[in-house]
Amino acid sequence: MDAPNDFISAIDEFVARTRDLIDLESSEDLPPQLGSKAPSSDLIPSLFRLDEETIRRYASTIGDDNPLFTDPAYGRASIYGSQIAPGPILVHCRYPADHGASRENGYPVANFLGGLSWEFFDVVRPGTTVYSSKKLREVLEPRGIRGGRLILLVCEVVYFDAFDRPLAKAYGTLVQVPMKNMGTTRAMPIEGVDESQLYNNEPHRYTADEVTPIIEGMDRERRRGSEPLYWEDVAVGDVLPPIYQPPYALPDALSYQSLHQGLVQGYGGAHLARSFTPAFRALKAGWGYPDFARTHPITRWPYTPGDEHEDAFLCRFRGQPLPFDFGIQRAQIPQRLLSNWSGDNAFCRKMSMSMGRPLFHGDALVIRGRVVDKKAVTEDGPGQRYSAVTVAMDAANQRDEIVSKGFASVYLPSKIDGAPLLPIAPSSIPYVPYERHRSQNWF
Amino acid sequence: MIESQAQWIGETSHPGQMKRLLVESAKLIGCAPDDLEVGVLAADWLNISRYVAATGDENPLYLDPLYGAESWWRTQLAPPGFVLSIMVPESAGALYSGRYDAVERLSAIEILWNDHIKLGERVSAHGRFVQAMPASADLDSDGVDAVTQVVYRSERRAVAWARGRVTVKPVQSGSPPVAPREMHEYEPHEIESLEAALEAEASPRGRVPRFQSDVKIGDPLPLTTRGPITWSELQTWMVAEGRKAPAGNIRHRDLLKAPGNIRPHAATSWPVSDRRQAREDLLCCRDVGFPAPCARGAMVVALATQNITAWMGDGAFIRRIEISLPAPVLYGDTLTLESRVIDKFEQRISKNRYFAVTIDVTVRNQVSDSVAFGTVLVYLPNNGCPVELPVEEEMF
Repeated sequence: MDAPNDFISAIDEFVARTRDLIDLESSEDLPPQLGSKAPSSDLIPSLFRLDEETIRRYASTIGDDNPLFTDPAYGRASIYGSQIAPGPILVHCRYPADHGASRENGYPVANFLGGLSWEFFDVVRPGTTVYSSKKLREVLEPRGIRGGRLILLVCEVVYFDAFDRPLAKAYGTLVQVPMKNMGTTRAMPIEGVDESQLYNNEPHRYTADEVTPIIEGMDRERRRGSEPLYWEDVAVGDVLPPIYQPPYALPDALSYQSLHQGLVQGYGGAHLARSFTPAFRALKAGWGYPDFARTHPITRWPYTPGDEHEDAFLCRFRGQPLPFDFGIQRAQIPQRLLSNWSGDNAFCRKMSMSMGRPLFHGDALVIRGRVVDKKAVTEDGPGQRYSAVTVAMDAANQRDEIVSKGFASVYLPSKIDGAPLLPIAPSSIPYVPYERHRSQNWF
Repeated sequence: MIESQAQWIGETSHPGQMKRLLVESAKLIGCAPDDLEVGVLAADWLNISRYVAATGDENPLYLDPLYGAESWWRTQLAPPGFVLSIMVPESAGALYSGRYDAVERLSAIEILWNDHIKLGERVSAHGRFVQAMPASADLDSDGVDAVTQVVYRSERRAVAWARGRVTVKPVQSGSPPVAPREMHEYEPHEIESLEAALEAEASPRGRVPRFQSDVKIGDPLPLTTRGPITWSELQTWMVAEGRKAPAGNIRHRDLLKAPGNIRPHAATSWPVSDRRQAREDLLCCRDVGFPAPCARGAMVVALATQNITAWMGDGAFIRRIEISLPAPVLYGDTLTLESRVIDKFEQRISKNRYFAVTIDVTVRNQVSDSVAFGTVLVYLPNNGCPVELPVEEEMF
């Protein structure tokens, strides 16, 4: 059946209005205004406090208990002279994707993180205050594998410290899937939910034969630590020891929110109303973004927010048969694969992860990597040479279905030049287009 | 180590397990329990705002530093219930160190405050297990009560004290569920009433003092509606509690150190799953006796304190709350908080004179079950007599 005209018009309007946002500073993921205070800088300050405890907690949310990230004393003895944070912690300073144009009750598109690519310029240390600039850079309209229309919103976030030095840059791609059964608003009417499911999974039931390799994989995990992995000792084709995550469960959904909740403002600049009467008012007004109101399938409450990732009742409103992971979480976990293997003295210069299919509650995850290139790299700016390896990565669920793929560029210590010299201070940090920042050639 | 759910229940569920739990828990009296989780470490703006968001509070005394600076307290405050973000007094005794087929639930709490926690202060808590006793004469059926005390400090001064009782009950298959009802489906007229109640909610009293002399015994507080509870409310409260939320591989390792907290996941059969969190998971909450995900007990206590602070005005002070939690709050429930002044009197503590009122609080769900009841002692100002804090120079 053809899509109704008002639905097509809504999508066209969404695309047109979103294109108008290209190259403008994003109005998403701004910190709540404290009292009447207005932002004092062109760059957006983050409320996320990078102290030792928060970094420790962050590392644990992505499954990394490397003492370099958790133990200040260990960090002081390292080449960095302090505890440091895994680079992807910066997602909490500004979410690295943009949802595009919005309006009262939203547009009929279901959002999924399609991928995230990073460039890191320095390590992140306790005490760093972070500022950011986030701009939508590209709006692409490829066709999906079923021939349907897809809209890719590619944004660029640059993270700076208080001295305006770049710490990192992220390229986030948000996939907006037009959903005919949403009609003309973001929240799908309840009667359209059943026929809008994109998958038909049930929670996976594990047999002992499936459990054993995952637990053994977790037990086998080792990190290299302070013993350097020299570039000269690495060969193309080397396989990184894989890392395993047990089945994704509800507490995993809490991991990300435990650090991120409260960091961004709601409409009007105040703190985001997530509960009870303030949330009801926002939802009823049609401005609960990203939690536009929908009717709950059991309680029939018409102002139910959109907890479509975590809630087994509400995930179906996004076409998912089960609660599913946040792509933003999955995109961070590979840094552990890399740092376990490369050791404390290496530096992850670039990392990408593209999302294939969702990881549903009950799905386990294994992330694997293999060295596919090895080269000397001269950075722009001071012209420092680095000894780089390129790693190709993939992530699979317990059915060995590939759910993510990506690449990384890791600067290793060299027997000749020693540890990678930081910070990297490029003379400019140009935008790297979508087709390039997700291809191996960029690494 | 790897067991099926049937094997696991067969091993853990047996007569006499509650007696064993009582004996093992009694050995912990006087100790700092391993199962008390640390929450936030600072009353910074973000942590306070997370707590405030979780209770639906809109009082600028707890959100706006400038407003706070202009208040009687001359700074932004953390709400009194913020102590629950530092630590909830809810040890389950020896439950996690052994293997029991049981479910625990916070069933009562008492908090005594001595001073406010102010914006930016470093906070801490120290808990101690103090009592283990049969919940009733029928130990095998009704289980064990485990009691914990916690002292809260802010910049090293004691600001509050709390005592929490956790009731641990067996959940052998065939035993009655902890919550014997299904999620509520609201009729159109119920939805209409709820909307009207939520739209009519008054703003917090704010800077206009409520003098004790103007309060009469029997005065009702505004009826407050909270709900219907969705996943947003459940999760926002979990975040407000400020606890660590590690990824699955680290949870797996931590669980192996607390065998009593392991329960195979009912939906996936994954053998090393967190028993405590099963009740919050729609895919497996029935396995531990809940027809729908269950709100954490401390959230209801927080809502009760917020109901009082919205009424009492910025210059007043909650001195004490004592709440029983006879039934769980489920996803989909709507709570109605009904409060009334039942006494007014003066207290003299140290050199200070306090004008007190006692308020009776009842919290009912949409089917009129009582899910919480208790009393709150509030110090109100009087004309020319502001509330002076701390109440006691040395609290304990």
